[in-house]
Amino acid sequence: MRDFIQWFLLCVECFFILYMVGYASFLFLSVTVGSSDLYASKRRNLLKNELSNDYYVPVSIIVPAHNEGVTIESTVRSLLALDYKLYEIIVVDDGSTDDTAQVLRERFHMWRVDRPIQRRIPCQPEEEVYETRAWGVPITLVRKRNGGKADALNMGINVSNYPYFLCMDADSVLQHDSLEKIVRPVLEDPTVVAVGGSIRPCNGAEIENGRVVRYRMPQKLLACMQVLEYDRSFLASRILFDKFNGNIIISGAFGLFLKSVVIAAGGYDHTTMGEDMELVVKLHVFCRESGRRYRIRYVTDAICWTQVPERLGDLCKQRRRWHIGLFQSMMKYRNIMANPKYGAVSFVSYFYFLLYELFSPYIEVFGLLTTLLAFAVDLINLPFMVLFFGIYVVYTAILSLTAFFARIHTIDLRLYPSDACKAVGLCVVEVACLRFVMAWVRMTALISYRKKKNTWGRIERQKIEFK
Amino acid sequence: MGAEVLLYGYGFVCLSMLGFNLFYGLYLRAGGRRLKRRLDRLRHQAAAQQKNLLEGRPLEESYLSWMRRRLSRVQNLLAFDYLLDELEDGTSIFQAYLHQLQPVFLYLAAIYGRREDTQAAYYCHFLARHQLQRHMQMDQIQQMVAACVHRESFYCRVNALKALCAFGSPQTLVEALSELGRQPEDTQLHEKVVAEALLTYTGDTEELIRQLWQRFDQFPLRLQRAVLDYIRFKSGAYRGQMLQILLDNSQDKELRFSAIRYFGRYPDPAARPALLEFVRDPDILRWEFAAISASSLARYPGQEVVDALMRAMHSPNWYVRFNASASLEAQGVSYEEMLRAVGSDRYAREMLTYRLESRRLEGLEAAQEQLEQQKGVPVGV
Repeated sequence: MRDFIQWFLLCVECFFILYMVGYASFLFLSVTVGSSDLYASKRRNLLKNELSNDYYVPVSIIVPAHNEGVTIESTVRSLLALDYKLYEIIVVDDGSTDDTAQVLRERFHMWRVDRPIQRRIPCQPEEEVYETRAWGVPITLVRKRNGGKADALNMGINVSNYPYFLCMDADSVLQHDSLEKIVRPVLEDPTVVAVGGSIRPCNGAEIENGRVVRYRMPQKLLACMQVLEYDRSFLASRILFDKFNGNIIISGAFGLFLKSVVIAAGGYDHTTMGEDMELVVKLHVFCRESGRRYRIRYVTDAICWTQVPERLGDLCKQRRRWHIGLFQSMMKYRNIMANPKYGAVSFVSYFYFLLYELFSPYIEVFGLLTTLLAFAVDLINLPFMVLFFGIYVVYTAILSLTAFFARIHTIDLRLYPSDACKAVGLCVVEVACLRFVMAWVRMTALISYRKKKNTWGRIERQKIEFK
Repeated sequence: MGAEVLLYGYGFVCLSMLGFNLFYGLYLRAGGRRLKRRLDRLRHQAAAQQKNLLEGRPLEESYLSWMRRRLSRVQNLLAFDYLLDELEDGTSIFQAYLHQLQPVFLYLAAIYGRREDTQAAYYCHFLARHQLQRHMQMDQIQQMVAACVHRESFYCRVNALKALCAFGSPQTLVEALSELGRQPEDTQLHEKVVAEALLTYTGDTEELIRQLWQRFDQFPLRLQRAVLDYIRFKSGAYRGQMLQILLDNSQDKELRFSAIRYFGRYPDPAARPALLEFVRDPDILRWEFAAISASSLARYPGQEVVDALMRAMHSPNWYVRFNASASLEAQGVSYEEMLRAVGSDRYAREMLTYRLESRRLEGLEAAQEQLEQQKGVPVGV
């Protein structure tokens, strides 16, 4: 029996060494590429290697909202302050039970109209449409029967007038130049069908007219840790994947899409929880199957500030939702796996998300259980184990800090010394503790997911201080 | 043991990266002070030379050599860019100063023409921004800029194009556009980028358009669209050529759309039958022709046009109905009349109702704005 356990543990050890070396190599490569890309981009901008004129790519901004009465006004005000010439704002109220629609109607003096809506993508029917043009930018509010976020986005696409649409969350604020910057890849390369922007937590930031006037790390430690996590994950995978057109996620909080392609691909899938990832994978599949030349890009300097959950319960809900979405998208498009037709999307992006995102919580928990087993049968090299864990924590923490500082420097934020200390201290806690809590949450996410798959995840909102 | 070595190795490189990050952060933070120091030095020297110019003496040779050396570094050129903003006052002294710096700019063109793309692009931007062609004729500089159009970097090509537009020489610009057109399709500039650059052209517009037409057939589609857009914004004197494109079935549909838009902006009786034919076309696959023509017909008065637009209100395509209703409104047809004409067609009636409500909404909002202005309340608060 002991021989068997020994043999089993040897196999596990080999697997984990390969797994960790793979992960370490990926993180290392992506942070190196990401960091150097950020600095190169900063230098390019300094030397005016940028598009600075008004290029008028008309964009419809779609804001799906469900019970967002607390934040919706700030969000729309931030959109009105964008430095861009030609855009419209469409808020889709997906059957809210709070005062979301009323807040909008009253604060923006909206009037009811009988607007015929061209139904290019199926969605739940509209109940009322309101419009205003008094703010320089057309604002449309559509109240519709509840159908989920994907359904609300599909309604927004149907209502939109322009060839590109931008989806964002109702609890987010776009930086004043974000629209101008997210449109640039479209002008640089006309084959671009979708562009993802950077998401940064706004807890702690003071935003005035779409500009960050004061940046502090959030007061709540959980939110602080998420700042580090966001920086690492955005820098870690998206810039690297962008190099070979391999991004298979564009955050639902901030993404630009070519409307005609999205409509041709069938729009958002309302049966999945991760409609943002599902759409991007679908676009890869659609474009490759139809032989269309395409690019899906990621831009680092188009920034959307979003609220991250400050309570552990809310964070768990959010991550559970994300994991279910990931699972659904990966399963729905499993034919991508090891399929040469999809090139790097299959062999790099899909495998990365499969091994290091979808399966990682199971692998991590399995690793912990195996460690306990080895400990129980006295087959563990304790000093080595501690050293190994220490290297893992320090290594990941250093990468988090590299990503954090790279992003702070390249978007011209001024960091207070106390915030720098906070980041240094919390990056270790994030890697050594929060990551395992999240691993557990994600591992248990798939239990009972069918019950919740068409509901909006409720997270406690704070009013965004937008001046 | 192998894995440990690898992890230690990675860890070391990561620590180096972190160190680099911290160092670079401090370096960036000090960037403002460095720029100010450079600017002060350049300003001080320029002030002394301008004094010479005021007293009727030319720029000193030692100053020109110093400027050649200094401005060969891109950071100093950046500071000089700011300095020119400060000095630019339109006086003859400033113009003489720039004029006498001509050998320096020529030298820099040779230097930056050999530099990597980012710096070459910046030099083009610098030339375009200060419109140095106003102060001197510099063929060599134009050649350097035109050579940048061949480069792979997107921004190098865009900045070069903008610089050529700022120089205002139609021949060089059209040559550069032809060169851009010869590049592989996937590296060609977006039509909006080209059209926007052309709109900043400072020379003789009519001469530029004449030369563009001469080469028009040699340009690839994307460039042709940009040229047509530019002409639409600039001149109504090309109806003949536009009509040919409009009527030529073998032309790409995007070019024909541009021609339809042109005749929407510059009405011409010769285009009217073709526009009417498009709007009457029942083929749903050609809805784009119908939709754009419906919009262009807003400025073509007459019962025949009204009848065609009324018929277009029954189109199964949303955009055709939308544009037709807007054009009918622009023609001054009353809503009662329109509603009577469309009869019981639900989709047509819905669209007309929406137009009516939109118009009422605009009226209400205008009235509210007026009221707020009278009360002294800033609009949009």
